Amino acid sequence: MADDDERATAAGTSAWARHGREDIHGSHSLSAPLARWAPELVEPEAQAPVDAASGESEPAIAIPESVLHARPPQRLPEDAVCRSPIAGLVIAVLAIKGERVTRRQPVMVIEAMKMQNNVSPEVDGVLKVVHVSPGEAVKAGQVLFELM
Amino acid sequence: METVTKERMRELERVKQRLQLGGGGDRLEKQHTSGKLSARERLALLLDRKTFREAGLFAKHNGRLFGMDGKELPADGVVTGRGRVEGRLVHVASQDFTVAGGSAGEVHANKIADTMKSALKTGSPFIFINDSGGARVQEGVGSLAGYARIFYQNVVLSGVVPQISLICGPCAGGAAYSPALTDFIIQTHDAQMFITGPAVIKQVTGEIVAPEELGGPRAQMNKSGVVHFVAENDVEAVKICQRLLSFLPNNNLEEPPHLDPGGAPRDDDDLNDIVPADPKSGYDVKKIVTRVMDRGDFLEVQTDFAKNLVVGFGRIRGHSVGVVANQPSVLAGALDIDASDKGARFVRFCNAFNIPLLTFVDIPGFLPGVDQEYGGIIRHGAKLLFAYSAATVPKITVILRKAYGGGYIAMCSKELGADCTLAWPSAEIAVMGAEAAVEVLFRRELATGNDNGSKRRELVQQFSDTFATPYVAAGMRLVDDIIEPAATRAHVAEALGALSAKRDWRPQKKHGLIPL
Repeated sequence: MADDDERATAAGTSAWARHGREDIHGSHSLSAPLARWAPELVEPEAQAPVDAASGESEPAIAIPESVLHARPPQRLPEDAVCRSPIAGLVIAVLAIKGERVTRRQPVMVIEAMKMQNNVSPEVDGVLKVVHVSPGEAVKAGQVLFELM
Repeated sequence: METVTKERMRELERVKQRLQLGGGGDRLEKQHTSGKLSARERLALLLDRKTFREAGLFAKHNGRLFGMDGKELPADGVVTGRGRVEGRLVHVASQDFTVAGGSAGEVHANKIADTMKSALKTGSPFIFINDSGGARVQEGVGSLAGYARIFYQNVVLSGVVPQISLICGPCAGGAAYSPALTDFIIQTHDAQMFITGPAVIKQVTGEIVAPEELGGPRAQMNKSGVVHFVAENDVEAVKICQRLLSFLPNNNLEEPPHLDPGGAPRDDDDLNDIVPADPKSGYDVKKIVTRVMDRGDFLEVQTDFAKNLVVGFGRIRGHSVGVVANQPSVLAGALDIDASDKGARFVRFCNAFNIPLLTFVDIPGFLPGVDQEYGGIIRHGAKLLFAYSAATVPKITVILRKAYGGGYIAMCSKELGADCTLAWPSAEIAVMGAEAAVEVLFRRELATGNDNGSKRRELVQQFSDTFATPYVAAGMRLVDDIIEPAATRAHVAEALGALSAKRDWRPQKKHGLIPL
């Protein structure tokens, strides 16, 4: 029970408890045992994004395979139709009809607000039809291309 | 010799075991085959081992009509109590879909509301795992009153202790408003949230829509912005919740947990090369954000909603910060209605819970367009101005490239109370871009002049030499310092340290009137 006693003492001195009992405002550093989130000594160039949840101990329960199985990507009715997010000028079309494109891939570049904006589809798919060509002015919401 | 106590102990063990089974074997099996964990399994994953203390296992429902009298609903379909996450106290409620479909009867709802009151008394976060068919129809209006009690407590707790909702199953009708009143919603792939479901919509408007199209995580993240995190399954949802908690204090009088600060920040030369020389080119601002955070660890909030503004949590030298950054590769990084709402809400959360704000600016302005004006960009953009101005936590702003016009002001400019404003040498701080400015200032001259092209180029060059730099703004002390990008982390870390004891006095009032 030593742990519980320590916790009780720590809680007794927290800003929350002091505020409730004596009405004292003030800040208090809370040092929690969150070791696995602590930064390690690393070179700045080694600062690549990490999966912070990795390196965990065994889960507390057995997890059925049916819970962990990979889900198919969700579809929305409008997914196949890609509309211009912004009014501007088409300056490049980067894929052709029949090409397989991914949701992270720029298919078109639209210049608007003095910036080149990449337009990618909402989902992966095959390019069925491209409705605009470079040099064409488009409105926000105008259909640019469709996926199969 | 057999004592009365021993017999009673065995009886207790039997009763507890029976009640803890919830709806029992078949229903648990069904829960698993439909890809979900049980209410208790979710808590077992969320909480530190052996720390869960349940309150209300023996609760009995008070339904008497429609065959409910005498029916046993273990724990009345919701597991409530307290426990620890990485040693820190939290209060939890986890709806049990195996018991009457997790339906919310009056006792069920009262158990949740009482757990919230305990969270408030002890200044500890409240975590609500939703998996429920909705109101328990047999209990009639008592069930509705129960929901209302939960909503009321959500509002009482708001801004005092963090509230996090996990949506791990259906969450329809009135039930959706408790999560909506909490600070963060984590939705799993298989879960759905909506106020009126597909059947009612079809009946009333004739529209036909599948449940997942209407209320699945893609709909509620990408389209509506209701949801903050999307999880593949229950296990991932719990992990996101734990990671989120690690950035937050237990309540509004405490600081977020401080982790080991690590060594002194070093220069990161790669930061010098991320912003392209061509002002028309976009780039991914998250590359900058992650390089400035400890270990590159950045928890983005609402990844797929209003992508032109990036918000999320990270740490600098072990201290939590809330990051707000324009994303130049989406909508030119301009602020629109959704981005303003997203940013304002995040800023207010950070301010409520003592998390300093770090703002990265590369913005051409507010997004022009009829739909934006008709949609009320004035009203929505004002929320961001309000939220930043009202925030009293340390505010640090780093101007990366463009800081034009109203966008410059809205992104935590000096005048909105930034405590420390830094600019990279690539910063262009001006009322508008050079070409647009020349058009406004010299329209008449350019219209009448016969050598239109070269005169225009000369004027644009002149304007951009003057204003497309950080020096004019720094000369006016709107920028405190111009820094080498590589040294950003060190500068921000130092400023956070210097501002850690910041106080900011404001007039007493009931509350300000944010333009909702």
